[in-house]
Amino acid sequence: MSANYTRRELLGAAGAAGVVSLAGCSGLGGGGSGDTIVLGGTMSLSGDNADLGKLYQDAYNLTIDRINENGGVEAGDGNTYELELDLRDDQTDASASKTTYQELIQRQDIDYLVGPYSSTVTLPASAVAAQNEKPMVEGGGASPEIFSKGNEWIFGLLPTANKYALSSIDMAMAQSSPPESAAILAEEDTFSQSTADGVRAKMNDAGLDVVVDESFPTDTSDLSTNLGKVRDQDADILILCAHQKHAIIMANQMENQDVNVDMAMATVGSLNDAFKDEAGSSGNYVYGPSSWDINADFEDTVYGSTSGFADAVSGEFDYTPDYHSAAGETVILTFKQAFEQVDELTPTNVRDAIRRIEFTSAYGNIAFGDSGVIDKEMLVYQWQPEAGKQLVYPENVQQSEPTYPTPTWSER
Amino acid sequence: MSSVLQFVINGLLVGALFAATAVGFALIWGVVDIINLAHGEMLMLGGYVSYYTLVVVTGEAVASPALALATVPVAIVVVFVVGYLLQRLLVAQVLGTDAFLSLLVTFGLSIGLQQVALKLFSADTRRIAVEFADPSLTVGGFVVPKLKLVAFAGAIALTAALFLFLQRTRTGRSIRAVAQNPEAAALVGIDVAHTRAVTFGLASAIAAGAGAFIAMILAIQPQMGLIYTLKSFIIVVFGGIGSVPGALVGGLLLGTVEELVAGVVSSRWTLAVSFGLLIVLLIVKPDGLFGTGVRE
Repeated sequence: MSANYTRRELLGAAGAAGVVSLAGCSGLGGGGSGDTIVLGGTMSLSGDNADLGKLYQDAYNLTIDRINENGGVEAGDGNTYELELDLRDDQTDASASKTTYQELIQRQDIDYLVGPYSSTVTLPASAVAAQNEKPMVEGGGASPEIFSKGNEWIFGLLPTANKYALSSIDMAMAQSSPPESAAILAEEDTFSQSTADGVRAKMNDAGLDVVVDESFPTDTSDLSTNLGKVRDQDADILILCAHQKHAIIMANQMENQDVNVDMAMATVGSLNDAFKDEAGSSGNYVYGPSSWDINADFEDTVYGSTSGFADAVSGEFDYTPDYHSAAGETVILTFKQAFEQVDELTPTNVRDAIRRIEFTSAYGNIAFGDSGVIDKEMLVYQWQPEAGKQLVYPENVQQSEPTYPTPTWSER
Repeated sequence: MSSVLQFVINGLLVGALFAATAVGFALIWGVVDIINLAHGEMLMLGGYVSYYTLVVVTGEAVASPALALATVPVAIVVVFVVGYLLQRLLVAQVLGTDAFLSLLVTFGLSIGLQQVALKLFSADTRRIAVEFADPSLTVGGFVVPKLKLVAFAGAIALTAALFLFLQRTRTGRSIRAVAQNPEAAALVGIDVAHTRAVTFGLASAIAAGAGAFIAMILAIQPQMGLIYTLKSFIIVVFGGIGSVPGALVGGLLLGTVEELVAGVVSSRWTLAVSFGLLIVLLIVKPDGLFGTGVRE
């Protein structure tokens, strides 16, 4: 197939194409086209953390849909924008995530970045954001390393990893028969190692004798030898610094290894329904931390309140949201609030607005410290046989007293 | 000293499952002459077949020991069919071509099966909860989980059954004939393509049986296969290609070494020591303990 064109027709067509291109660029520089602002990022939609990655994906999509249904974002520049999400699967792989962020920024011209899940993936992704001077708001990376490198472009909604287990140690030490010895089992990834660092320092301050301190590879599916050490050393409490897979394995193998401790807690993944479904009765009495309580009602500009957000997620996806979901929702709300506060939409203006921002969302009171991370303390929950998941610490907000010490396996 | 013996017990219990997985890997390498990088995915599929058989029949993944064991033959049969068809329809197409191509095909198969499993089953970790009134035996101060003991016996039984099948049956003799000389086997009337597919199916089925036991004693998830493929590789190099006794000894030894390293040194060193052992073996005894060695 061929066609003959005159020089005049070709010049005319080229001119028209140029006008159309310029018109497209004039609506909003980078990251947006016309009246749309695109938020870009990667998420663990497959791989080891896909179960938790889905919580963020759902929260991102639902919140953006609600914002657009309510008329979009009335930005400080006088225009109203719809939000759009370009979220790609990083397969829970840090290097895939890094490459994808580079592509989103350099080829898709995206200026505003939502973070991935897990510290291991977030750390290199945040470096890409800094190199390209694009603000990134994330609710899935908690390692202090992310915020300790002077990166001015990263904002985190989770308490840093070294804080995850501290409240549970406070809780144990506040009991009438506080522990004297402790065991730490830590997965070999950035987040879990940071968590373990915080646990060691806290245990040292509390005068606890750390009788087991072991790290294990992420792909380990058998913790029996390490749990055997916990049993043989007669540790009073056990802190598992790891993710959901290992929380389930710990709960199951503690019984057949006959490990009896006064408190067993896992830093991530021990509080959602999937954990209890798979661990069954072995998951009873296991503790876990959360930066969010579904029953603490905060005002929210999109869902009305925390309970409105929880109802929306439950209605749309048929599961109860946890703190990952709430942090995901607030990633989007943080950008919305920042867009509303700037006179001109540029990455630098939006970053500066995020730094100054103060608002409430379903997740709670939102403000970022100098290092870019939110200042929050962890709450402690425990699975109890009759009542289910209960907020047990701090005492002033507890739903139930902790069942401490945990009954031995023969007593259950 | 007692701790060391406890680690050895832990290692032997889990090593039998490594052996049952590796024996199929060795068989495919010896008979079909490919390194099946999707072998761990057959184990993963076996775990899921066992899990969902239980869920479909009883409505939950909680079972008595007898009921949980009843799902193992289902996993074996289903994955045998899957393995047979994969060999006939896919792997057979690249046999006799560049060895690199067969590696690529099985690697692609591995990724494909993982992705299908992720879509079908999600990334959630799952397990079959087997209810024992008292989950562990304590013998002479050593803790032996009953379910791991059952899985150990099951894995040994699977390995022994395969060995006897290869030695005592007509199909087994055909498989051994194809392993030794496929052209000569064809000349005496053996259907080489069918025999290779049966071999692939059998190897997959044994791995699936091991996967069913792993669903009971540990946990399963779509991306669990790679580590079992890697362990199988180490075991086969140690035991010798195509050798069932070699795979059994290699599996038990690898399990013991890994648990000893985890217990005495640290879990973080287990893979490093395992692969270090592989390198030493390749240098010192490239033929393996019982097999015909690693061919060029």
